[in-house]
Amino acid sequence: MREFTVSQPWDMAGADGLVAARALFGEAVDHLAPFQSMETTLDGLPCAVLRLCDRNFRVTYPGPFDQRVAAFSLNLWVKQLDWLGAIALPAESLPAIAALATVRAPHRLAPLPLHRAVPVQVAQTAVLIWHHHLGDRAALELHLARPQIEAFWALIQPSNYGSVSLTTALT
Amino acid sequence: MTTALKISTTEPFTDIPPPLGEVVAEYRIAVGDAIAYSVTAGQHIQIIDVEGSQCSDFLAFGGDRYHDPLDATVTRTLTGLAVPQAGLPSKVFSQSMQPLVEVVQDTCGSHDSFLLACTARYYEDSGYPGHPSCSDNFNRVLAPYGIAPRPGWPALNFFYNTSVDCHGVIGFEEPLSRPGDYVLLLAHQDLLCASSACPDDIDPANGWHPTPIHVRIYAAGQTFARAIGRRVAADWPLRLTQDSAFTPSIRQLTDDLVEYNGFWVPRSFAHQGDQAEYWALRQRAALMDLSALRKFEVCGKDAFALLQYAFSRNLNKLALGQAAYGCLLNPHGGIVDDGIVFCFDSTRYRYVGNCDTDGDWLRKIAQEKAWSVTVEAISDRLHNLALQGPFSRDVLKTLVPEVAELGYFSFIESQIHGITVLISRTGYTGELGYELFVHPQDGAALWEILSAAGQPLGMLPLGMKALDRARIEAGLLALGYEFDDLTSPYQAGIGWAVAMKKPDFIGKAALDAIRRHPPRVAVGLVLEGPEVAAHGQPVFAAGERWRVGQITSATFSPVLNASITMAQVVPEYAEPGTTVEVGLLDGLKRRVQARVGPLAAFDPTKSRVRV
Repeated sequence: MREFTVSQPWDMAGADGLVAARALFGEAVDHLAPFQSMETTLDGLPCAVLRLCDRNFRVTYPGPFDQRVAAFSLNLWVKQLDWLGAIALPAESLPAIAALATVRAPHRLAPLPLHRAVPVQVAQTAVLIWHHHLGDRAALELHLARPQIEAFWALIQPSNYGSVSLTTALT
Repeated sequence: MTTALKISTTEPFTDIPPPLGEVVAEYRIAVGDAIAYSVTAGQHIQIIDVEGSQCSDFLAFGGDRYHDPLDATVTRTLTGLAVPQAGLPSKVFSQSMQPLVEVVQDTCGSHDSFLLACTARYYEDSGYPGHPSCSDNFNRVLAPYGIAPRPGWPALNFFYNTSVDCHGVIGFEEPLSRPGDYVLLLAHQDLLCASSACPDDIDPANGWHPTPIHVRIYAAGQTFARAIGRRVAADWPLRLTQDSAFTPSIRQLTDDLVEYNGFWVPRSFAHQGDQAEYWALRQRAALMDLSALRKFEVCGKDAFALLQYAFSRNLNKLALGQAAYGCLLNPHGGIVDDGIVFCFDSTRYRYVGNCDTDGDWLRKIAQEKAWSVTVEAISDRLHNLALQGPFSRDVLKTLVPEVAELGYFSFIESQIHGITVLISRTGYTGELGYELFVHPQDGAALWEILSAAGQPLGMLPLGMKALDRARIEAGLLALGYEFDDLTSPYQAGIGWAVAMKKPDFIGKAALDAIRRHPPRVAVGLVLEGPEVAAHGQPVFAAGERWRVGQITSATFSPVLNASITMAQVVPEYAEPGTTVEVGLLDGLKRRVQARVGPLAAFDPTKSRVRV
């Protein structure tokens, strides 16, 4: 099974968060509701944009996104959160993860369509599950506190039901 | 350690509402006393104010050996509410953030989570040393369970009518609860609970006269509908939140429902979101449940005379099959309600508005005038969907071809797959659209038929968040925001809907004076920058300390890419193009410039609805 690569996401928030997002990614970004995402390119590089709140966005971008935004001189911050970790799993592992997870209403995990994210709890660990494309394949990108990644990893290993390999994830 | 238990089958209580289901235990808490009792996960607890105006403080302990107590601060923080409500943010949490109970039904809606259960200290400071207190009573009944005493217990204080004023002062008044009002809680885990019948007789907390409280425990495994009790008028019975005919279908698509005007309505749909719903409405088509509107059949030889006198529009101009938007008025020119009158013939009309009490008002007028007319509430027989958006006609004409010729504010009665529907070309979105009125028994089928018909054209179901955004863009009024019974149509922005040439109608003399110089007039504002204003925020003259108006509704308009508001300002500042300032936050820390424009910031000429 093919392995995924996932980079540390960029977070962007502030009074002008939406202004910046529209300037960078176009009007389509304002068609997203919180916990919805879109795939696009920025300066020729692929990126995915996840809206977390009206003016809060999380962006996967392989370049220096903070420098790209700084040019706008807007009222917002951009940073890579050093306490936030990201791992990736094949999309096929969603049923196994869903079986372990609890979701607070009104969020729903079953189903979790492409370009959607949902905050869940797996045991005592809070995880944001984001279903979007990594490379040319749909996958799950999971965001969680860095200190909990190892324990989370151990937790999901028993849920390998044979046909789905959870061990293809990369952090 | 166990308090008095009475089984209802042998000694039923006749001074309280009948049980909601199978009762496994019930307790009558004597005046000024408290009890402790255990429940298991899945059981329901009903706390009943027997005589009304009586507080009942509530504690719950979960976890291993009841070490995890109810925590009101945790609860407020996690729910974002002063007190949990039946519906989505309904859980009461423990110190360790675990759900202990969930509010399933609440017929009062006025409770406290900020103050302690009453304490000995309160009474001592008030000159009543030795007065019994809820906290001491709790200490006594909890001691056998190994719960350490406290001088004051932080509790969820049901029926305790407290408030925090604009100066930060916490006050309290007589409870709003009537005899038989209750709160129904679902236990999420095995719990030790304690409830009191508060002994406070030295202030209005219990109306100066403490009375008993009754607690019922219902067997696990029963399901009770979530509901909030509302009283729309002093002489009206309690009304519990209800599902519309379409709600079961909607619940398949979202868990995000809120109470609105007595109905559970969706805020937005799962994995869809209000943004997608909004754009579906503006670019394609959207389907929404508007069953919370109230419908009245007005029939009789004087039906025309009644509505011509009570309603602001001139119904002489209304032909069979036509409808008109306007408002019911009171004698001082205030808006009782806004709505639409449908004309079936000169002796039969239908009024569709927002309030149950509209019928009372119309009947009262008819009685005073000795008119021969009946006003019948038919809301329980007629639920309605709105199909709106530029493709709405294309969707609907595949089912009802004659819709293609249906004019603006006209209606027809037709059939869709054998279902009788009234279809009107009306709406609340600023888009071409239709409303479909149907008997509730056919509601689910109609929802499915319309959903299937709209799917190829990208139609989406639409929730209240997207609807509110659209109606603000279109400059459409909302009761409680743009108008109430002290607001004239001229102030609210619907002066055009007042037929001053009618010989006589309610409020005509007052409105004749008001229209010459209304105290305020409705305008639209477009703000500089993306920040969104809020209802009630002040509008200032540019560069001045003094206010010229206030915001009534606000949103960010995606289609205009601008922060917009509806506002009511003094006429001197209502000229289009005038620059004013909106006071955000406290009105001092930040002011944002705004430009006065039409009330409808989007499509002010209404070209889209008339297409």
